[in-house]
Amino acid sequence: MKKIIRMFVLCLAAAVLVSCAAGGSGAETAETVQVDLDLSVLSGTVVYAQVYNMMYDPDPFLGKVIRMSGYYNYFDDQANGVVYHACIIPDATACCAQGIEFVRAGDHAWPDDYPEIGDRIMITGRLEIYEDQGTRYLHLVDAEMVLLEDGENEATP
Amino acid sequence: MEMLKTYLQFPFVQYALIVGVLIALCSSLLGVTLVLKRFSFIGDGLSHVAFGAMAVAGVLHLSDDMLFVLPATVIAAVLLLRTGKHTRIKGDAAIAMISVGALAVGYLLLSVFSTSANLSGDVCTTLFGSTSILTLTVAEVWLCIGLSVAVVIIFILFYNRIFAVTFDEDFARASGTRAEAYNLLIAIVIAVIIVLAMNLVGSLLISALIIFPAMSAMRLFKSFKGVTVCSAVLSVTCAVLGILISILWSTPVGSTIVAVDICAFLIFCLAAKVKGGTAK
Repeated sequence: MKKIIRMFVLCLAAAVLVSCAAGGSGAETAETVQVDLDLSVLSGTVVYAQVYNMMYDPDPFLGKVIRMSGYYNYFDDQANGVVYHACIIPDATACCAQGIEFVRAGDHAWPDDYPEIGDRIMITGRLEIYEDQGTRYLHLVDAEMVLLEDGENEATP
Repeated sequence: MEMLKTYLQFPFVQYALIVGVLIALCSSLLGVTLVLKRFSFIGDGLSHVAFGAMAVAGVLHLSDDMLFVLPATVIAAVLLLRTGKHTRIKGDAAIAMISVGALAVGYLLLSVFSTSANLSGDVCTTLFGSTSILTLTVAEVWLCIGLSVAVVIIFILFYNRIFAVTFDEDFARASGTRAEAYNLLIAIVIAVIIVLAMNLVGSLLISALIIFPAMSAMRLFKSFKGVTVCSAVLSVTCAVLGILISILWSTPVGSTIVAVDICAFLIFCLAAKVKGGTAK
């Protein structure tokens, strides 16, 4: 997960240059699930720190429904034929980023049903842990994704 | 205000405020002494040494880099002090050499040996603090509390001796004070503060924590005690304000604190002019 996130971070600088597509393929309407931790209404600095701390010590957050907004990014693992999707939050100095991988609920084809790299998205999903080749990774499962407009910071279900 | 209350409920925000207050307090206490002794830039030099040591710790994959960074910085502080008067390389040149040398070697080591995919991020975090202060572990918070309490106790216990050594080292020596020993003590304490402060503002901005509160206080107060107390209060206030502003408006923590320090300095300069200029 760490490597994947780091690769996302490298892509991030390029990603912010990508213009945000209006509307969006794959954007879904916000649902009305019970959110345990809503990070989408917090400042970027706090969200970055909270996600960092969740990655460092995930146990208190496992199984909880978390909502966060950030930038969409993906990692196409061609060796294993898997595409990992993530919501990325850059820190205030813009040199570091934290992110959480997510797996959307339902069937969605990539890349048609996903936004462009760097588009602002809001993700709501349940935090779970999984193991891949002996390494534990975190991701949000059953995730609902909403494409945000420019400047839109808050979740508006 | 509601948002601020929400943020203050996060444990990492509470840790940041505790550590920020303690670091600001410690740095301001010693800052007055360093500024008066014309050692303002020793903080800069030592912070770069700490950066180099952190790079070495990273390359060696040390799980707790503090165990390496702290002794290395203390040793550098002692060496810098020893080169002060009786060596061929004089104080300012020694500080400059160690400062840029450690910075260059640190970055070189990171570039050549680091396994991180985000080297620029790692360097940026170390130099500017990034959000390190908001990502502290409980153990780091306790270490900071312990070291800060030790620094404050040392300063209170040796206040008179530090005062004497600060203003007239020759007289202090002549009157039986072991000036070299107290200079050594000051160097070690400042090394500890530098290492702690790297989490708050990063290694490039540490000097601001040491210099600005002391210089601001000197605009309005004349006595050592007055300047020290004012500097401590001002430094803590600026640190808390800076942390809260950065949390509320998503600005970089370190540079926000320094910006608040600069504003405070300008306000104090203005106040001194209004008051009639009680200090130089």
